[in-house]
Amino acid sequence: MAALKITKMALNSVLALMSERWDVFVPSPSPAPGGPSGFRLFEPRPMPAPGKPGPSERDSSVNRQTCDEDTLWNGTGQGGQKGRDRENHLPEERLPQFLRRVLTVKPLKELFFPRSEPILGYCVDGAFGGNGDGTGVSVFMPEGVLPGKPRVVFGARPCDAASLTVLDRVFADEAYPDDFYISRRKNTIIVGLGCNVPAPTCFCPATGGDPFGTAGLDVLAYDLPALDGDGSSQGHYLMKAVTREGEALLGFLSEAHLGEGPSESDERACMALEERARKAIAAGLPADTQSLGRVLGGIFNHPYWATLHEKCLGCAACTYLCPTCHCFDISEEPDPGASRSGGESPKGGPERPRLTGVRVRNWDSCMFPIFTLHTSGHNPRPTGLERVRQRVMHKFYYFPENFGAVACVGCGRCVKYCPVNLDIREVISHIAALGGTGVAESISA
Amino acid sequence: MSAQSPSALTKTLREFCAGLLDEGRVDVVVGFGRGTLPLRSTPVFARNPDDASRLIFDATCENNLSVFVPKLKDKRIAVVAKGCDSRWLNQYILERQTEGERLYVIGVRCQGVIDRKKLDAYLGSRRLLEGRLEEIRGQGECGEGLEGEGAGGTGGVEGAGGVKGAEGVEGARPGPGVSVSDGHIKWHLEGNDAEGRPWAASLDFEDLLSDSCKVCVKKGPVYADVVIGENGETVKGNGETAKGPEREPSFDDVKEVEGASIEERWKAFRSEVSKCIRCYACRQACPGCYCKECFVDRSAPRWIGGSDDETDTMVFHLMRAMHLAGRCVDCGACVRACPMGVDLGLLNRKLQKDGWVLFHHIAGFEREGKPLFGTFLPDDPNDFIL
Repeated sequence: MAALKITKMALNSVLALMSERWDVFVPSPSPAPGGPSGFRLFEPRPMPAPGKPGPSERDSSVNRQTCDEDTLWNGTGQGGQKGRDRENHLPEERLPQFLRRVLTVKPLKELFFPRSEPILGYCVDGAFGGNGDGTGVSVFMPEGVLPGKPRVVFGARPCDAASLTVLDRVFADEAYPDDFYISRRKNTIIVGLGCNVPAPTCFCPATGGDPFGTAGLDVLAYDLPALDGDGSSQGHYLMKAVTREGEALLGFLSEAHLGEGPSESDERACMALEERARKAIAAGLPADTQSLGRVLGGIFNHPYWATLHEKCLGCAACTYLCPTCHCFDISEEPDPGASRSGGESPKGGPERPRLTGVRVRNWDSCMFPIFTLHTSGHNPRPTGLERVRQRVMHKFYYFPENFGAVACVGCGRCVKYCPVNLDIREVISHIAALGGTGVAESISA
Repeated sequence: MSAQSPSALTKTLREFCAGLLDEGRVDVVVGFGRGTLPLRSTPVFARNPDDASRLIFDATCENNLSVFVPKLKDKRIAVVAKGCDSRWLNQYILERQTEGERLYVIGVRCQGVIDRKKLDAYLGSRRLLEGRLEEIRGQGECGEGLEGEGAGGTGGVEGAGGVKGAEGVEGARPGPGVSVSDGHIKWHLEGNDAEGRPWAASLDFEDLLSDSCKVCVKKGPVYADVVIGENGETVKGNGETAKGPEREPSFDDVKEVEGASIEERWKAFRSEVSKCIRCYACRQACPGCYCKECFVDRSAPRWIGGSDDETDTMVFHLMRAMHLAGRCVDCGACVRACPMGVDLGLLNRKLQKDGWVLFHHIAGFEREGKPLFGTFLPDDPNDFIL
């Protein structure tokens, strides 16, 4: 099945049907006013039995999926609490509305490269084998590390999907394959949602992306608005398969009679959306990042870095929320299962003695001083100058040199969430301008 | 925002700072400039008179600029300081982190600053392309000296969220606080919705105001060398300009939480920190977090784990809060910096309340003496000692 059109009203049924075969992830609830935080497991809403009224609209356990997740206007104005109640009366049709927000706060990478991920469990007091005489160390895989059920992500933006093709170059590299990442990539089908109206922070075309780009996607969905005069409809999603896995997914939905093939006018509507989005995003783009490496190679010692870093606070909001940042640190932690339950393993596993530990891989950030701190106490990147420079160099110079792609997809999260508005788009344009003025050549000469 | 002509305050600020730099009285002015997004500012470091033309001051100036003082190598530093910024400058002097002679405090009276997360919550799936503050003087009228379009903004309030159609509920949502009061400041917002249709709205100033600003006890500077008023007038400071809080601190928000059971409070705290991704934006935005090495970064031995384990995250937030007890000036910079919407304010406010109720102490008003936790009196209340 190459393309399938579903009504937005049917989205929940579609997701519920997919949940029978896959773990389905959707853009997730906002942790606070400010938008969705990341991607989360879709929990199908129980269908009311025939002849019985549906679940109470105030039953938060049922409505969690469609209501609480979209933290709504709750300012102190008179619309405040009232507005919230109103939202709590909303059934399924809330999700399509929610998907129209441009981006989640946390990027898609979290589903493949989590914030913290146990990669090894060990026991040092002879349990689980050890030396066989009650002493020695045994090593095991912590429970639930590798995903079992295959997954579908619905509603990822093209920039987030494109970020996976960047991460693939690191974690799915032939020389150093990362089993954890690869196993998640292999068992996940990604349904993207094209961006009808890009946000003011979006700049994907400057990184080689597109509001309707298909890199990293298995299916690309178009959000087709309701036609004029069709007030009862919320419009449709037109899903186009990009890969064979995507085709199979659409075939599965088609067999359940959950949609229909697109008409010619639908195709025209898609093209119109693409054109309009490209036109909208073209205004205010920074310089193209794909040739930035040429300039960056010559300005390592340029005074620009000294002024650039000055306002940077040195937090990791930009790197942690970046869909392509992939640096990590490995730490040894006590096994939380063991420490909390006094020796019992978390979920019905074997009795586990206390002397167990977990090796955990955590996100790390080049913005932290400790990131490069040597055991000797020497730090090759002692100040913000070196650290901010590293972030820019890595994204636009070192990564392209090593892997043949810029490590930025133009999602704009770092632009939006930087506490001091250190805007990477400005940095890109400044650097491009340095190249244009020949400063780069003179510095490197 | 670019279309807006600079306010009287901003004009005076630029002239004054250009003068300071020109005369060589300071080496750098740390202030705010216009950011790259609507309703956003960005820190500016002006080192020559021309740089001063980038300075602004308005309710988008959300950072606590004193945070840069310990990092700067310049000999004489001028800081554009709101009440809370100035209070941390005092605290730095009190804590011997800098010398008073090194600082030149350009005080500005602050009406409170924006909380961008509240703006985002309001916007929902709408995109913001333009935003500015407008002074409304009576029904549908625009204040003097403000660029046009204001009247339309207020007149169309009822239709503020009123983009009808597939936008559905968000469109039908009533605009909050739509009443127009005399002499009121409003946020004028413009943009397009998820289908590209334009919308405009006008919100009450308080609707997007940072929570900490709502309980602010000192909008003006404490110990300023000069104060620039709302109408652009300059008043020489003499160190006595505005001592002491402007009003008794109120802790109604804390009292509400204190009324809950210990289990409920623990649950609420866990739920709050569960959002945390440990990016440390709160710590980095906080002027009080100037430790050369934060305890969470201690690696030999490690103090807390590096994973997203909830225990470690709670330890981080609890220890940071305790380390700020008697020092936090409630500027709210940590809350505004947090990308994940963790409300750290309440924890900090509880400690402020204890400082106030037990010791009648409120941080940032003194440059001399000892910090609250550097003093001991035999008759100090000790109920809080476990």
